[in-house]
Amino acid sequence: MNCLSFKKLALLSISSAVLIATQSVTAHTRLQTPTIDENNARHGSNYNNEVIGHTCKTAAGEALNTIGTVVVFPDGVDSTLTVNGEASSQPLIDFVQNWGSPVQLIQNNDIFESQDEIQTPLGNVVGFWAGGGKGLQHNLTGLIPFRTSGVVIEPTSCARSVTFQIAIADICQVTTDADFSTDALNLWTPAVGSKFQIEDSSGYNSPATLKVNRTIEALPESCGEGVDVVVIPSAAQLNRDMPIVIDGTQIWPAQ
Amino acid sequence: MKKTLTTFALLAASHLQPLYAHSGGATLGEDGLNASATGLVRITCFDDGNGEPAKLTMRIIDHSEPVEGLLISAQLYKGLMATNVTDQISGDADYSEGVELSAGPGVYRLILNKTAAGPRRFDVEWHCKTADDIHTGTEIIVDQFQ
Repeated sequence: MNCLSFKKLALLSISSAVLIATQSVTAHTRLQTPTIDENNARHGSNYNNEVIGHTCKTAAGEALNTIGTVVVFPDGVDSTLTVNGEASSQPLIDFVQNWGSPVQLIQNNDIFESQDEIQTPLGNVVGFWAGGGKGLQHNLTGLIPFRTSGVVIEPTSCARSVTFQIAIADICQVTTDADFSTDALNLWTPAVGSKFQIEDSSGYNSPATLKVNRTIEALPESCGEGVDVVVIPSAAQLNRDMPIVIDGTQIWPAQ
Repeated sequence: MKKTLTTFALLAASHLQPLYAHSGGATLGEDGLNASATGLVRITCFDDGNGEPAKLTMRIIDHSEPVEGLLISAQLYKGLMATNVTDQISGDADYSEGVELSAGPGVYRLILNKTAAGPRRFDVEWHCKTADDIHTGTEIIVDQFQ
């Protein structure tokens, strides 16, 4: 390696280090396209990516690669709703006609060797995991491609938008859930009392979101400006669907 | 203790995909006791680029051995329109006749039921199609299965 290229490499390394420092305080794991339009007969599915903006940094300052990720959408069965910020007892079907199997994973092994969809006991797909292999290098950004089903907002409802809170785990070390800490993983989840939340971490009660805007049927006149609905997965669903289970064997969290 | 997820690769290799696109099978009333065992499903027909949906077509096959008075049926409805079909001969290699409901794009409901107690192992096929019978966007959600 000649002197010039060595200098370039050194500069790149420094730039990367600065970037990591910046990302570690700002880049929460989110969807690449967090807001989409309602659609049924017009567009079909929406293609998207989970964006892993940074990996883990231990209390000792060691940067770790991300070795697995889990993404779980609310199942709409025992999910809780807010309407204009107020808790609501209405079921999701009052606002969305076809929520239940919202996501399909797209095969891609660029970052992780293995991946699969997460199904509810009825076989609906509510999320996915990816893991194994070399994982996500700690100074780089990871994209995990997937698509979401076209969402049909109930035309007789007053919903002008419906936002789904999405629980995400970025795993850097496999531990039991009792040993969860930001040394081992980042959790971007709603604080609903599940096992999958780390108090005082930047991801605490900071889930990713997918907002669906009403774009097909106009609001009924009686609705005025309409309402914004937020759908939050239950603790029971997250405890059931976040673990990575392969052929009946739970791989993560460790047991 | 630090561990990596390299075990994923080995374990995932044996993971089988149980369902194929737009067909699926299960056993209704598996405990053999519930004559009222019912499946409830939503199917969304949308334009995936192949054209605007005009209808949903469906057929069903009962793989179980014949039992007198025990047949599986499927009812399909959307809005104010409905149809139904029954596999009249259990255990043979033939599907029921196909039925279609021409109710355009949107969310259809499919109900599966049977005439008496006893398990029925079945497969069902569903396809959203354009007016020219071109296969178009089809997605399914299971709300109940007993």
